[in-house]
Amino acid sequence: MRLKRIAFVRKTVIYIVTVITSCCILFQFFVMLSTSLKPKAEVFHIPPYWIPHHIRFLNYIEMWKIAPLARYFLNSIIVASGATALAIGVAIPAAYALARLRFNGRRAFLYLVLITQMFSPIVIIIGLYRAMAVMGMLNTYQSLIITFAAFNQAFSVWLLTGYFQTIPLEIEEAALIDGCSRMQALRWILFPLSAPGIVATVIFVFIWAWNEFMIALTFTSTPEMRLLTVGLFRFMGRYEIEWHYLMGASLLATIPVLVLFLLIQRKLVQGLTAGAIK
Amino acid sequence: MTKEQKIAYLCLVPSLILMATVIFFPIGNTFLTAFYRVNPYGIRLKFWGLTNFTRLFSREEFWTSLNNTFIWTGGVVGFTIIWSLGLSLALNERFKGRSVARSILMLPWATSLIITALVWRWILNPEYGLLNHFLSQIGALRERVNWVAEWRTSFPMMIWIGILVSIPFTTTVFLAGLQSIPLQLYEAAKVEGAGSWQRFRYITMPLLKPVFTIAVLLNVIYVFNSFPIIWAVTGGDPADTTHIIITYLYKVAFFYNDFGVASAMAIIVFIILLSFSMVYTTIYYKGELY
Amino acid sequence: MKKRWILVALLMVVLLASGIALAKTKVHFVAARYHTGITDDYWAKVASEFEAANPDIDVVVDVIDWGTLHQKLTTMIGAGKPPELANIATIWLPEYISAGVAEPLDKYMTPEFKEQFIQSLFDITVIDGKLYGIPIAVSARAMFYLQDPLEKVGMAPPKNWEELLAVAKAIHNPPELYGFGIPCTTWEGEAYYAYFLWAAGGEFFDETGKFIVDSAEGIEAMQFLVDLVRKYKVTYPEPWAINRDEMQKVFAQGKIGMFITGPWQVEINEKENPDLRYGITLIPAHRRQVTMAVTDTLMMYKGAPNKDAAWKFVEFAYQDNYRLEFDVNEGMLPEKKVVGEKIIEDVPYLKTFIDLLPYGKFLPMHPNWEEITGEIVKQMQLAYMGEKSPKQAMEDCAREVNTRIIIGF
Repeated sequence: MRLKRIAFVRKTVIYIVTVITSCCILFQFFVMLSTSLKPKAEVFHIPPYWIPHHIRFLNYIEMWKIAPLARYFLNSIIVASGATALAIGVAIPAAYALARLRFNGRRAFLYLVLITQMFSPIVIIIGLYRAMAVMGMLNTYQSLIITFAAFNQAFSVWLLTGYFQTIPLEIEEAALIDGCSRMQALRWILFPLSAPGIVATVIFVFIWAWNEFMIALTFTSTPEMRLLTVGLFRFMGRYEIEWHYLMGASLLATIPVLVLFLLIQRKLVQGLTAGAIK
Repeated sequence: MTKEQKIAYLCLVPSLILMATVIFFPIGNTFLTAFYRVNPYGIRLKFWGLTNFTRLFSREEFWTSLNNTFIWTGGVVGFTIIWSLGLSLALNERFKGRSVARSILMLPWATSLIITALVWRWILNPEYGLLNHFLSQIGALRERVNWVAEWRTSFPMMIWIGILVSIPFTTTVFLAGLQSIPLQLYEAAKVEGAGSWQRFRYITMPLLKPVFTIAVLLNVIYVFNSFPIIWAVTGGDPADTTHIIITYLYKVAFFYNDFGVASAMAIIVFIILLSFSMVYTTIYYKGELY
Repeated sequence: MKKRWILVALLMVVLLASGIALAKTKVHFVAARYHTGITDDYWAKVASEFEAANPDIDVVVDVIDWGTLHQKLTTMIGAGKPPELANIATIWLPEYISAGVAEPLDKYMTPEFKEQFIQSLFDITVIDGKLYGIPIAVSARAMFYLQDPLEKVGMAPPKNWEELLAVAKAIHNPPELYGFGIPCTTWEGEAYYAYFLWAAGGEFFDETGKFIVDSAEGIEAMQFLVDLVRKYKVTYPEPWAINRDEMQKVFAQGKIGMFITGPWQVEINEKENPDLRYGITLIPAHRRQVTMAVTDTLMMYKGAPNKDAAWKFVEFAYQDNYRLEFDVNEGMLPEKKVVGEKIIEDVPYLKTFIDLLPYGKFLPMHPNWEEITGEIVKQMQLAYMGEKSPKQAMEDCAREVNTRIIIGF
């Protein structure tokens, strides 16, 4: 009986926390959705309308004509995927070394990496632009991919190191004793068990690259190369902002990220129950 | 060098090269610039010692923004960590609607921060924005509030926005950590008669510690330098009272074209964050990381 | 074996082709966005028509929003890679000239080209006898007012300060209607001081270059504004918390009785509240009648490689048909005389603004104007908030700016 009551209280608390958080978050998105469906005359109506009096789906079609959104989407997908692949690909070995190997300079490397995070792109944007200009890489995918991957080393390395450390060393050592090579232990034990962590890092880097504004604005100069977040600013004129298009396009911009999340999130749960332990 | 050390250095090299080519040089440049007199475009003219720093310290706005930055960072990170911890524990349990909740949680993270900030500026407008409308409809607001008009209403509101956008990432990080804890540890504990709270205290908390500590550290560094929210919502106004360092830095660099002072500010930020990181990791790791 | 040769041949073709492509002269033009969906397409069209007529030149147009334009240009200049051409706010020109990055245009411009323009607009880009820019967008400001509230109280649109106060008092009825709108943020907040400073007969600088907002006229103007806000309370509240863009929306929704803004407000009203009944009149005078004329300038940067090709593009883009299209679509006043005559047929309401141009004053051209406006706006905000008297605010402002002028910003 008592166990059932505890379970009930538990479930209630869980629901309360989740629902309150969801409502707080959804407020902003409800506003975005509602505004994106309003005709221009209703966007600034005082007092504001919760739900548009005339729902205008046409907004979602018009926005594709005003700005080359398809191209922006494509560019962002290419750059974000490339940057994520590069960032993670380079960070995983580093994190493995930091979590599992003994060597001099562990602390130095960790701090060095962290330092890159302490300088906002705003501070070093001119130097970054100059570096890309010198390398002749302005207005290309490569400049963005490399730069984004570099800026995400700090997060990736620190996060992955942390996740690798969560996996008890004994499990791998048991496997090594049983005759596995280091690479095998890596592949069959460490990676599957830390899959949730790797997935979280992948999501983080992808989203960072997807939403980045300052560097993308500075490095690109033609509409063909613009990324989505910068491209959305096309809806900002000198005297006014086309809020209905801007909010609608922003909502659309979240879709690829959500799709990625839905695809990967099964791995997040699977990694644990896969039972790779025995 | 032992074989282990050789392998380790090999593992680190790619990451190092990537960061060196892209970031280290501009950072070095900023360091130099802070000690030089520069032209309006950041080109170094002549060595100036600490003059940029003294000029910086004589500006009242700098100290205001420094103070604000601590409040901002403490407020956002503090509440985010607590809320995310609770939320991640909740989402770690199986319940109906869990995947819906997880997807909703992703929304603020999936949206560009600068767009979120602009949307909130719209929402906060006292005439056509929906927040005041909503609050007056539910009776929570009796007289007209202009949120961005003064520090005591705008700053807490911006901290609230900061929390909302930080929760998704932090919760995901915690969740991944929670889910990496092998189930049998819990099962073994249950068999030995440990209750919920004990399982949490002796299994979850210690195993989550590396991830938790890193989440706090990265959040602090990230939030300290977070630009879009303050910039889009108040722009530092009224009268430069709501600036945090990074927004004031932007104003000085790109509105006043004073890259010497801006670089000096960047160095101050760096010193603060580095000190924090070193103190924090020393306290919390006490030899575990090293 | 055969495969390898084919590959090599292909490679050579590709290299050759890219070599030819690279041999095209590239002209970079950083343009500013005035209207969503209009400016971008306009420049794309002009650029592609130019390229069709000049196949060896490639024009790369980068249209940026005004919020980030200055920053992007600073980044490019700082990195040593400025664009050939840029569409800038004229008040930025002194900054570029004093940094030595602006290219004088005298040697490119023929007298016939220059003749086509309304000369007074040209003159403000002449500094130290050299011409640095061509006007690309011209606007003037006027006062918009709502007809219904004024008719209800039976008053005519105000012609001077006393009438402004009287009308504002009569129609002020919060929260439905606010008498007069004053936005005071870094987004052109200083303009709302300029309208009154100039009307009082004052100036920002005297002949010696001293900043004189603490003159009798300067304080009088500020006192009037602060009284409107704090003493008579006939304005939209908390001016420091609303920017001009937002106030334009609020005016369009019929919540502000009188508001000084530019010709684009007509379009905003049309799109967002077509039934709004409003009128346009002159800015209230005091000792003199003024308006603020604002131009944006097309300039060339010294450090860019392909300046001759860039000038070709300039001549092409300034043909009458393109300028007429630009001015009509963006709601701008004409900078060319011929265009001026045509435009009144297409856009009649612009006549009010064009008639105002003779009274037009420009904001001062000072290399540190951006920082000076920051200081002005800040002091204004403090005065509106009641933290300082208007006299104190203007004196502090003048002292601060004059000190910085001496010791350097």
